[in-house]
Amino acid sequence: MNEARVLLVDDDPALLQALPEALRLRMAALTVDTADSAAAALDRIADRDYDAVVTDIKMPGMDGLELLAKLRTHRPDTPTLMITGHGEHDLVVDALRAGAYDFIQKPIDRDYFVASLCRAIETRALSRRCKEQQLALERHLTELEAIVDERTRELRETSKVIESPFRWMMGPSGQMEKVVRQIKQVADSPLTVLIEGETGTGKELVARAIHQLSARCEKPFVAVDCGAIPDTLIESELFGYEKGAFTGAHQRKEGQFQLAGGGSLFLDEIVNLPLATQSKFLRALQERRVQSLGGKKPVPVDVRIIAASNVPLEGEVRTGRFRQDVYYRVNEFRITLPPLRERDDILHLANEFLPEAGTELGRPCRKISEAAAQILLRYQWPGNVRELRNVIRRAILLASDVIEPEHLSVMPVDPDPPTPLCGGPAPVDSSLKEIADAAAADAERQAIRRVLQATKGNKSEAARLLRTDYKTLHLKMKQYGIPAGQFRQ
Amino acid sequence: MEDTRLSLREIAGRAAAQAERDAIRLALHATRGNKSAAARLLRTDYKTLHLKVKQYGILARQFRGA
Repeated sequence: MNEARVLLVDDDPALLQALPEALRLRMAALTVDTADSAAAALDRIADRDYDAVVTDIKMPGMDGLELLAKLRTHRPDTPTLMITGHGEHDLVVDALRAGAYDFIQKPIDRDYFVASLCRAIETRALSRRCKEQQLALERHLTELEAIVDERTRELRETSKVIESPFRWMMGPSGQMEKVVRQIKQVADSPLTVLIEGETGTGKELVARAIHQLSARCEKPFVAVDCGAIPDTLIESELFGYEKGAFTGAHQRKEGQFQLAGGGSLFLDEIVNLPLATQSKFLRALQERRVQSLGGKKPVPVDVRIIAASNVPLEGEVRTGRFRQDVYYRVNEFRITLPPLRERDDILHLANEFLPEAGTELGRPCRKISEAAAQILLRYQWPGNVRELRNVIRRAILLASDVIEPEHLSVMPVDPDPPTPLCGGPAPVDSSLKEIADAAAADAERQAIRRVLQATKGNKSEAARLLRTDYKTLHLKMKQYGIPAGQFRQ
Repeated sequence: MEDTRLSLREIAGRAAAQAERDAIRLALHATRGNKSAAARLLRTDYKTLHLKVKQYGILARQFRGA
């Protein structure tokens, strides 16, 4: 038995002196406190949680039974042993009924007393352990509840993020409700999804929503615009290449397939995939393996493919521009996004964008006049929801209070691009050559600055990294006004 | 962004290609797929534009109608 502490209560000073001695002799590691009255006992009990209490029944003032009753209330777990005189059967019965652990008759049989006290202390230890375990369990439960709360909150946040792009695309239109239903249906399946819809209808938003709602949501979502990559680069972009696979392949590079590992790969404008790449893509779809350029053998990849096209792929198959077998593979589940002109919620969307753009552009929210609303309803919206959003944004900047027809840049005669496709500056005043030259110069300037930063202004090293010669680099730095000094420490 | 391991020439080339492609798509969009008009807008000749459209795999057709 580990260290235990008991309280002995008796009005007989001789007993208070003799009994602790006797107990200590027989029980190692036992501490005995004494009290010569019930009142004194209560004081001690208030300060300390005893392993057991031994009390005489008959005491002047508060007697043992009364003390027992108080103990049962304040320390219900502390076993109490009652010392009774010879033949006090009624008292014994009362005490046991009141919850006493055991009774010891005078004259005290010390062996019996010690055995009973030991049992009492053990019982106490046991119940204490039980209670600790229960507390631990409760604590654990509270923690679990907190975790559940936390997760619920996170999920709610996530769903808010997921629902918000939906809100972006949808008003109270039946067509869009169907789309949202389809997204929820297909998200957690392994099916390859084909999203068809005109430019600006929200194909990428749908793809992202599918990814977010799938079990892959923690893994990467990689978007590739197949139309944005020249034919000659698309294979290396998708499948990667090994060092030395071709001239200029100085380093191994992972393809988008590998980068999307475990997650989703969104192939936008898939119709732009050259036929040669399509066959390679088909193999990747069928075998779930990809072979990088110059790679020795195909490597398994776990990627969910979501493809999008702004023209019906079926038509492209008929004209022979898109392979039928690839089409079948991609078209396991199709989501078709309706063009805005066929939707009945144009004004609802416009009114949604109004406060949003108003806040963003720092102009107080305005309303759309009846005449302007009529124009919005009649317009053909080649750029769809994206165009509507941009039109509203522009109108907010122009209008002073109410959006009127003259603030809307949607006149059917308007030859301007209704919406920049890639967010870049519109090609109004620059020639193709100027545009290309400016972009090249910009990229060069950035690259040179980046490399100089990395080499701490060492021009020879920078030239080597950029695989150009020192003189060229020096000239370009002069041309772009980049002082090497600012990169030195 | 561009890979640091590309040479300066490649970086410039890629950026130029990207910008050209974007500009051509914008111009085709503005002219509803009319390549002659797009070429005029971009102050280049029809042949150059036609070549680049092909090179970048742009489908002029997709900008027609609407």
